[in-house]
Amino acid sequence: MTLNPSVRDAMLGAVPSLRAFAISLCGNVDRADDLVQETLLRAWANINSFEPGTNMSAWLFTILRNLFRSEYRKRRREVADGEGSYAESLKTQPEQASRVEFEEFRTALNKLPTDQREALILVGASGFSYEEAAGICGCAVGTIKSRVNRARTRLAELMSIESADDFGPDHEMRAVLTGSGSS
Amino acid sequence: MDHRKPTGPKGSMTAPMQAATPEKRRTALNREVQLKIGQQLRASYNEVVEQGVPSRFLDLIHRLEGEKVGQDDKEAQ
Repeated sequence: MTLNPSVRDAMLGAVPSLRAFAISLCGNVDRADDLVQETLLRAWANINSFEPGTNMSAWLFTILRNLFRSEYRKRRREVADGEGSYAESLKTQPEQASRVEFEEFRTALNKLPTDQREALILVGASGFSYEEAAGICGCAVGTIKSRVNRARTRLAELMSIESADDFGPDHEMRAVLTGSGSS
Repeated sequence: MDHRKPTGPKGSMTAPMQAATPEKRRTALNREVQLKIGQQLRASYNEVVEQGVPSRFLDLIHRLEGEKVGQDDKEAQ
């Protein structure tokens, strides 16, 4: 018996976003890829427990998230930095100015508690609904909502502090420009 | 610290538009920051997504397909 090609394709199709999610959890590309590999192996071995017609992506995210929680969490991000290898992994380097912002954002994101970070990523980047995210994280929908809110608030604080210089005259000027409608 | 000096090029545009209260300004600032957070979040995520499927995972799936499916956890410890 071979695996249904559509199931295989769905697994492969989910790999890019699984990696993105894993990297945001681990903060390290190599470890994230190991995590994705482990997820695929686990999924493959348990493919019979996947219900056809349900969301393959959500199923794989759930496996990955649980693996991360059970094993990787023990190692507690001892290579917490990981930004270097993350930046290196990017094929297209953002332009200098936006690149600084980008790094600031990654740093701020990494300061969030894991449960807030994963909720924010699942809802804000992966495109899962609150309900799906709750299913993946094994918690109530309300819990996901409050985690996302706290994550957003905290990020806003961190980013405002880190880019305080941006809010000088330049910002005032921008406020004037945007506030005065079209010109 | 939140006292802002009216520095920068003033020109003739010094008229206070819509009397921006600190309250209003904070809300606008917050909205701007939240917008930026959303953009950065998706941008950093999509950077990875756009890398596609690394050959490592294609190889893995091909290798697994060479094996029998359903040998549940045979190798898992």
